[in-house]
Amino acid sequence: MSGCPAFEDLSALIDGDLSNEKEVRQHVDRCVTCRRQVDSLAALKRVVGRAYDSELPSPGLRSAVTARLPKRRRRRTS
Amino acid sequence: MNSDALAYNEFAEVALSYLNQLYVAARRLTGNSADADDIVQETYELAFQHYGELRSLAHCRPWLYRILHRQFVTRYRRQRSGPQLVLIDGGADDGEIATPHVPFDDDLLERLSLQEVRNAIESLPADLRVAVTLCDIEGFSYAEIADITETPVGTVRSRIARARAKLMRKLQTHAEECGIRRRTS
Repeated sequence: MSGCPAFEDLSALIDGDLSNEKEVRQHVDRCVTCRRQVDSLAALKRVVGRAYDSELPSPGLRSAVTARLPKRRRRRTS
Repeated sequence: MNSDALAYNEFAEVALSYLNQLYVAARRLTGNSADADDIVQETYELAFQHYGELRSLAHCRPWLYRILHRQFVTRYRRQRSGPQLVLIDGGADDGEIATPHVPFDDDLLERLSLQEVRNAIESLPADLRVAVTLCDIEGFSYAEIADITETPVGTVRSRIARARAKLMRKLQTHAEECGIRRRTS
């Protein structure tokens, strides 16, 4: 690999969704700048991942949803 | 019990188990709880009308998210002037990604409240916000996000990277303005 990988590649690296992962990871292991960027991306991913942990729907949403559902097909009784 | 009834019961149990997750996803998309409630209700109405099209309950979760996303886009197109519903940020998929010069770290992030992080996420253009939250919060793969949002995988990849670059800059700027940025000199 010549030069540092693109930011997009480092971003995909932390998601495990990179086709040339081995090559990029080898570079990151040697490059302080890229390693710091990867560490930052990973920290951001963790924070975004828990940003909505405390959000819950209103207690009435479930009953509102089920009340509007199409009625289940009636079974025939033999 | 016939097979239709069994399928309905199984689908209902699995589908409704995702209600909280779908609500939170809708809340992130719309920025308010009233619209989130509406979109979740519309999503379930459509899902229950069409659940026969679902091949396997194993695919129920991404299938529900796809319906939710479609409902959001439909609503966005109806409310195009709404400030929260900016779908495209001046060609969000084009051009170079402006990467942050100074990477931030856990130390900075730990000093920010979750509300501050949520504010930054909700200020992103919707297409970027959708991609990064489906990845980081819902844990979908790039291929699954591509399926949910009906966009190519390469676009998903680019949107996630752009969202992260923007979030880094926004959070850095915000932390600096609040005097909580750790100097890196």
